Amino acid sequence: MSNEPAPRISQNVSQRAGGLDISDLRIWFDTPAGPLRAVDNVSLSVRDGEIVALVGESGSGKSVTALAALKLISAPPGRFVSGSVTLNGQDILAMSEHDLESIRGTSAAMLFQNPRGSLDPSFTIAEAFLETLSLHRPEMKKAERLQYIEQGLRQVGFNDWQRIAASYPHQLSGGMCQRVSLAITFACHPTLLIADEPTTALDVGIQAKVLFLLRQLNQAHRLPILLITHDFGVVRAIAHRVVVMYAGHVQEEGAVEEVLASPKHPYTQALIRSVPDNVRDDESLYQIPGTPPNLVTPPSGCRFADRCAHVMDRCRKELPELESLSETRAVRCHLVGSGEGLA
Amino acid sequence: MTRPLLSVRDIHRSYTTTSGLIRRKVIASTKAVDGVSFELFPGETVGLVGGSGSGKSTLARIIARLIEPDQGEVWFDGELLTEVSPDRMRLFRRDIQVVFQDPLHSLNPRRTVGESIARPLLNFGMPKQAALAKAESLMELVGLDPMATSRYPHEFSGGQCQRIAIARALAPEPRLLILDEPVSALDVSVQAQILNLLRELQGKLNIAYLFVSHDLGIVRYMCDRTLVMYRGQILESGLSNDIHKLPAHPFTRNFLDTILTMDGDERWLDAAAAIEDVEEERSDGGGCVYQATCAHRLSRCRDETPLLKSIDGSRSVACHLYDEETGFRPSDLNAKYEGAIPCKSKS
Repeated sequence: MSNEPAPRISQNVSQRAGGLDISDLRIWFDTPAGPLRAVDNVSLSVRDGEIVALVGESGSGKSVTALAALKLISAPPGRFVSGSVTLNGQDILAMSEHDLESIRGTSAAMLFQNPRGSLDPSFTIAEAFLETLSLHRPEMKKAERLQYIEQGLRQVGFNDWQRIAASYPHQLSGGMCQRVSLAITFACHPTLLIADEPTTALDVGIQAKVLFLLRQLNQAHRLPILLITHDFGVVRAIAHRVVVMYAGHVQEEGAVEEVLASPKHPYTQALIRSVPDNVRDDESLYQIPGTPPNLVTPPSGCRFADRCAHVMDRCRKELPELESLSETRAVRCHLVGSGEGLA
Repeated sequence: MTRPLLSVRDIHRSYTTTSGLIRRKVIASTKAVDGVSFELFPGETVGLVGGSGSGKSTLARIIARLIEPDQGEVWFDGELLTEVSPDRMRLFRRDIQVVFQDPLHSLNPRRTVGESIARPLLNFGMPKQAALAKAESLMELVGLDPMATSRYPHEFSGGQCQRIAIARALAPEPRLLILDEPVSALDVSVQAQILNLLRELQGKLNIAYLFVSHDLGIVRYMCDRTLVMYRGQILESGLSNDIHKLPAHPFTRNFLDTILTMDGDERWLDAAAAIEDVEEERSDGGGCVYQATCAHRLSRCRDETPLLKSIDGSRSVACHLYDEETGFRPSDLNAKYEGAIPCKSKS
């Protein structure tokens, strides 16, 4: 791979306009039973300096949406049916695999859920670092690279960076591996960071540490972050805007304080109510009845209708539009706008 | 007072790292559980909380006798479990059942869920027809369709698999259910379903739960009493609500602060900054296990290991701050958070 002409990173960095724009994206997966509509008419954008949280339960399409930002969906079985993905002004879906290679890691980098799985067990941290740098920053001199490793590891809070650099992933804890991944990811100066459940596998203390670092990177470098999570605590802690997905559709979006203070969609309300923090110990937790719909044969109306506490006849027949309430706020629900109050 | 169902006394367990292909040499040893004692009463729920590497899962496995302790005693219903014969232990296996974190991997993919649930019953000599019939009623008990017993684990969602794992654990009618992070792998909405189910089942069946978790919010909601573990030791124990409102140990205070809340409280930021690479500093010398990062460290913390002592009523703390002459109270520790409770209850 290193024989190929190196992409000039500096050029990409200079076109720093825009961030990420996904519009009307539809991704289907072909299954024997027919196409599964994993992502259906999803639009979202991440601007410079912004942290956008994409929230939803498993199967909601949030990870597929995020992977699509770097065209990391294998096709087949995946299929981009319609829509567009624009990253720093470039049309991602139209790019060849070869061009995509030069974008991945530099224009946008990914941080995955399982930190140990994303580090090769047979390389030390320093070797993993050097490999990434030689791929994405081939112009760098050796001394400069070493300096980069030190700087990178210090930035994520390792003061004894030499020891960490000489370690193998199995010698470090999960939290430490995640911080190392973050350091390596960030060393290539990505213009967008996509973090897919970066703290789900970690315990609370280490989670706080990793989120603290993400927020620091965001504030110090105006690094835009697309954060995939299912935890509203994480959303509240570091995100500016939140997009709630359910069954392949965006159901609600808005500024974090706004959405958490007054969620408009019954699904968002239910999600927030099912967290134990908000419940006295003598009452039972709110639970959403039923299970998500089969997306091979999705219901023709609202996809949340079968589990919704406020369902009306209309919801089963007619799919509500994602309606803008203000510049930042949008909700996909027949109740909003129809004037009926929500509990 | 009733007799405790489970009594754990001074349990120790280390893991060793070895090197060398032919002559194995021990190159390092980590104390996973370091002198833990506690009691659990019939029908009670006790939470065992700690971060990763605190030894909570090792302790849970020792109690279920899935691994052996290096030292210490586990008493169950008046019998010394750590020394009973294998034959007698078989009987106790009925009484102590475990539910693990990953529901899909704890079920055999090649067995129908009915067979999985019936398995422990067949093991204890129930005829096959009766066992399968009981499996159906257990499916119903945990809120699943009894007719689905002929299906395989991959046909169910994560939450449904966890219900099946619970049904299987309940099959031999245990008196103690060890729940090792039973909801950590599940989505929030499914998590709520499983927690509600567990509380409902306890009301019906009067089983004792040992609830292992890293989430103090869930433990407060689920458990009567909480034990807080750190590096193999219990640093604090008491009623869950008391600990949550007014933690006594500096570690518990920091642990609570790192919990993310939805009210916009930014206490976690300071708490995160205070976790200065604790994971790396694993000196196994004497003294308090939390001394490296403790904001309240005293000179004696370095050499003297504090013992778990009662400070008032049900609360015990292993911390030198509470040695008699200083007159330190939990409220002193929480002075800067006057009136603020990390996870507010809706009033």
